[in-house]
Amino acid sequence: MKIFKTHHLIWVLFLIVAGLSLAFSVVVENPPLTNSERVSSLASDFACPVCDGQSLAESDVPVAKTIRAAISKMVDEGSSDEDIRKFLVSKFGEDIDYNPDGDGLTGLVWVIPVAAGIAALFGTVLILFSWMGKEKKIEKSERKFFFTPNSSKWIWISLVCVVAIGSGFLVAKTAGSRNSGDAISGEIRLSPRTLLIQASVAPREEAIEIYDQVLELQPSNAEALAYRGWMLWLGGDSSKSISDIESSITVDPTYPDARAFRAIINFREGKILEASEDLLLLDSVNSSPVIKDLLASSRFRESVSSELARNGDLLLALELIDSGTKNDPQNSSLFAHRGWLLAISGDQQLAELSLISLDVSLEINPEDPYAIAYKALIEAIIFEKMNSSEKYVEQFKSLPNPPSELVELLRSEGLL
Amino acid sequence: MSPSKTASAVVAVITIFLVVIFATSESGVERLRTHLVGEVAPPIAGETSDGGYWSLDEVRGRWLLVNFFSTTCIPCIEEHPELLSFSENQPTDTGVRVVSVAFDDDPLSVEAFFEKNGGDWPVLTRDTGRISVDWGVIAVPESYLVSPAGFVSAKIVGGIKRNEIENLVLRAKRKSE
Repeated sequence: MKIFKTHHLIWVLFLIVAGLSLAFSVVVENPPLTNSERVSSLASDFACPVCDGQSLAESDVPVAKTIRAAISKMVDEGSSDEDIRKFLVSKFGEDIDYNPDGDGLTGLVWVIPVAAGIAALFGTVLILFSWMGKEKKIEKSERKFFFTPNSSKWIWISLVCVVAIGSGFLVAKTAGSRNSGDAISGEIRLSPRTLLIQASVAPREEAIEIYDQVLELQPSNAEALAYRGWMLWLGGDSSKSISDIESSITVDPTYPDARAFRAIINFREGKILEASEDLLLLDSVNSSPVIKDLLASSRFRESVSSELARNGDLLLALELIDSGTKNDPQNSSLFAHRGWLLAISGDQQLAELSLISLDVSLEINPEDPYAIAYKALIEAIIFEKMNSSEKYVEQFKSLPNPPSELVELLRSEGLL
Repeated sequence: MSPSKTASAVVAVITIFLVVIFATSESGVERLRTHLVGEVAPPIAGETSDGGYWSLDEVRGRWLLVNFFSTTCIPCIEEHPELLSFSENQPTDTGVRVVSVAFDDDPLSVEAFFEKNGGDWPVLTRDTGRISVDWGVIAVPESYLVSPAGFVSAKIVGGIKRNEIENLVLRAKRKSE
């Protein structure tokens, strides 16, 4: 005798899925125990009021830090989670509460998914009853096999089950307790941090628009100000560019990228002393690898120091190079340039000292093209040691892809 | 009416109901502009930059401009000369008093800022986080005009101009008379 019919099994399946879901939700929602955990949990339950898509726990903007500190103090003073929740909502509005209570308009947040769920369930039951009625009629009349042409109903039942389970999963994910990172599609809206990452890989015009968006959210965001200024400068808008970069430095005098950008702009505009001041200040803060690479690959420090030496300020030029080697003692190019500056000073004693710097450069990198070329030039022109010079010229010739400026220099002195 | 028509009608009614509710509810931006206005001013008390103590109770009976600021915020730096001009032009006995509350700032930087740029009104620099949260400050500069009775009469979001504050004070005084 067949006790269970197939539709009974489907209901059993529904009950199992619902029971497991409830059990899982109970297990994962264990309350935090320590004050620190409570602070962290509460901070995760509230949105940062000025940074879209980030909770108080995730954001580092001043207002988020301030509110976190206030939460911590209230927890230490013995306030309950509910007291803190009510306090924050009264100060910053319901918009920041990721778990609004069921009062008033916010109650709809809870009511609508439940009502939709009940309506869906009701509809499903109605359809099932309707099919069952039809099935009985068919059984009475002509159906003899279980899988008759009417078996398409099983496809529909399966489809309903899949949709129901999928809908339940989506509702569970999108409603109720939810942090920005828990959303199905990631953050609800883009945070300034996400926008800054987007801008860093966007084309120039698009990047400027993204930095505009960041600055609408956080008018004093040093990074956005500096990089918008840099992008504007690359696009030829010098005055607005300077204004942005100056603002960035005012907001955060230790932000290295803004200093680097201002140094480059000042140098290009002939303000060599100002450029060197920014470079020296840059050495006193921790620059990002991107900025270090930008300055090293363009030999910016060497260019600024050369200009300073040309203007008669050899001491400042050497100070700039020494400041660079202090931060990056393995930079052979800087030691080579130090040697070159000493050599072209016109002072015989300094010229002799230049060889020490060039030797240090070659110790660090025996194939440093600048050290090799400068050695060849100094040995030939200052010390008139042609044999020694030729040795370095030959070594230079064997280098793959030597810098064209060095090739030109050696040619102009008749060494190539 | 058929079941499908009934269902459609129910959905339509619910949709219209929700649209009306959401359309007429106060927006976040509106709340930002009017937060605290008409309410009793939250307490302010603490150590000032000159080592003294200042409390809101000290100025009961006087109009007060509460200015939340930071020395690293550009609009705050830009508004300072306006605030200075406003303060200097207030009558000693009856004029509007000014108090500044540093927002997430280093007390030494604040002291240096006032020493360089002027301003002899009380400046609260230490442990001001709770004051900022009590006032619901989101992004500086934010300023609040407090009436002699201790109620918030107006809120200004962003940098302020001297003539704007003077007009605001004038309107608030007329309204309270």
